[in-house]
Amino acid sequence: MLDGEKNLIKHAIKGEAQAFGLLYDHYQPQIYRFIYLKVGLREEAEDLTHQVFLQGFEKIIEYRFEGFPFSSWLYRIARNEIIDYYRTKKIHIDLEEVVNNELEETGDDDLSKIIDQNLDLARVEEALRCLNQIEQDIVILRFVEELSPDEVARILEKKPENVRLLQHRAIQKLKKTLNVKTEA
Amino acid sequence: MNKNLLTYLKELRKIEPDSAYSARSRFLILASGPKAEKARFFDVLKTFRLQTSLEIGGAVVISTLLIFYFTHQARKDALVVQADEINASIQLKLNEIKYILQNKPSSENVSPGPKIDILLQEAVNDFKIAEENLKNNNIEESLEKIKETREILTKIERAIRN
Repeated sequence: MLDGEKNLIKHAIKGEAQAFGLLYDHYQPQIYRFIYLKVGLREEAEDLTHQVFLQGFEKIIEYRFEGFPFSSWLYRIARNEIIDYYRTKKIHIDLEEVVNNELEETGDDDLSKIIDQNLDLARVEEALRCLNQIEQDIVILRFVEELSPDEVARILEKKPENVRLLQHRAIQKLKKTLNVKTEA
Repeated sequence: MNKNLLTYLKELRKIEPDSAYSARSRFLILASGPKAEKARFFDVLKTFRLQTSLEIGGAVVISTLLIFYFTHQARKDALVVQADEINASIQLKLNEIKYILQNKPSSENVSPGPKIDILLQEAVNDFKIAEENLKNNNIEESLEKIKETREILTKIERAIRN
């Protein structure tokens, strides 16, 4: 949490642009990263991030402190923006379909070759976008941003134990999509 | 392998937004202000307790001007961007003026004085000319007038601060 965050929010609610500017400076990179990892296009991510903060400032009067950083609230706005984005664009990725297609297309020999190849970030990004929305959220928030399960649960409006369960499932799917052998 | 995957995920944290984009986005957002607290030209005029006709005139002129701006120039991207920025900076100025007025000790929060009255009248007049120019398709001249309005608002802000 940003130093003096509660105070900054109080001032931002009064309409002080400078106060919201500090919140923007602190949280914008992570909100942008969250959106970019989900939509995969820089320009779209920029537009959506802009919308999130625009809404954040416009609606800051509705913000209520719930024991988590201000970013929790921003992530919730971001998730809604992304849902609207996909609804408008009519983009739908079915994870099962992707995984099944991949497995069908990949024979044992190919699989060995792929496993031998170095994982790179682009592949991980791509695989991440093959997960469903909630799984993407969990992987990004837990493993990229390293937020606590409690905070992730608050953002996603789920119970922490559900987050842990979904997290496990998401990682398994990610490995499967990347054709990474699991040890267990 | 699990460890490798998590390491890669951590590395995704290096993704950052472009700094030029961030600066522009920040500027536009801060100029917009929170809904409930947003200072509008109309509010500022109200604060100054000007005549009702002037208040209504100012509000109508601005609304018409903005509608004209964003519909009329839709095809002229460069000008739209410029108009957008100027509009944002005007909004920022109005927010600042409103903030200063609200935070002045109550003893000072009285009549704005003839100098500011004149400046406000000038701002409204410039908006009217900008509107006329838009109607006549003189977009660049209109933009110039809006820039002049922004200058006047800066003068008002300075006068209030002093």
